Amino acid sequence: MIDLLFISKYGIYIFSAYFLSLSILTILLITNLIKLKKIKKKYFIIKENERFN
Amino acid sequence: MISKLSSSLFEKSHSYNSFLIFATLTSFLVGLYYSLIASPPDIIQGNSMRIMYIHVPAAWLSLMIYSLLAFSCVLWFILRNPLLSLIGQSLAPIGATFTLIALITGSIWGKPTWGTWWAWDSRLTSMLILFFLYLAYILLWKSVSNKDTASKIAAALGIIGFINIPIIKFSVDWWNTLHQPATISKLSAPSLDITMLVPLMIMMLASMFFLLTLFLIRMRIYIIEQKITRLVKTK
Repeated sequence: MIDLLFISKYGIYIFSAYFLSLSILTILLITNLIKLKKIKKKYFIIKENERFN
Repeated sequence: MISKLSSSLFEKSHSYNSFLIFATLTSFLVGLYYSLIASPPDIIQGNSMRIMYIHVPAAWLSLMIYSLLAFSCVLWFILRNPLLSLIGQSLAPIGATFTLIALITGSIWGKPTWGTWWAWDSRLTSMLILFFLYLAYILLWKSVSNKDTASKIAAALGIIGFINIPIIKFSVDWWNTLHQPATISKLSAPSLDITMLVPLMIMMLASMFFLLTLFLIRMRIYIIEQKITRLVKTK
């Protein structure tokens, strides 16, 4: 049925709406996860340096 | 109070993150199955109606997030707690993203339904204004270097912008528009069949899980940034 849906009259509209929306949400989630990982690393380095000093 | 709250959020949200990401992915997969395969096509619009399952949750969340943002701004004026500014800063980009998705999917749905990508219709225009309000809020925090001044202006903007929320909600009742009137969030029973209501609710739940996941991640980022600033200052 899904094959029929995407080759149907409105298939391109449905596909582009879902593809664009889910891509935007995925990009937002991944960039924030990367940002969190980077800032956590920075925080622990500063904390370690402080303890060492 | 802020340090207690922020440190508990910093420690506890880590354990919730994996669960929330899993819940978001699972509910989106189930929602996609119901939206694209299990639900029947509409009798008038045919398969193009399936865009509703992604368009409506995005539009609802864009309004809900702005309402939360405005509420945090009101609380900020009363309590002057910096944590409330962080809530606003964490929510704004998520709200802007959902508004953008509502505008894009609405435009894509408009082409086969109305025969045009865009019309300067009251609902569409007020949603575009909401998107610009979110952008203004985000840019304000980025452009004003003094955090106290930025908090004040951002809180004022958040509250003033809330005027747009009832305009968006009731625009379909107040003016003649291309956009259809409310079908689910009206006072009487929803006029949507259960076979279409179920996928819509699952997609709504998935979007809520996504919002919560991203909100906690962004709050953690801001809290760690503050901790770093404090550590650097004490050196």
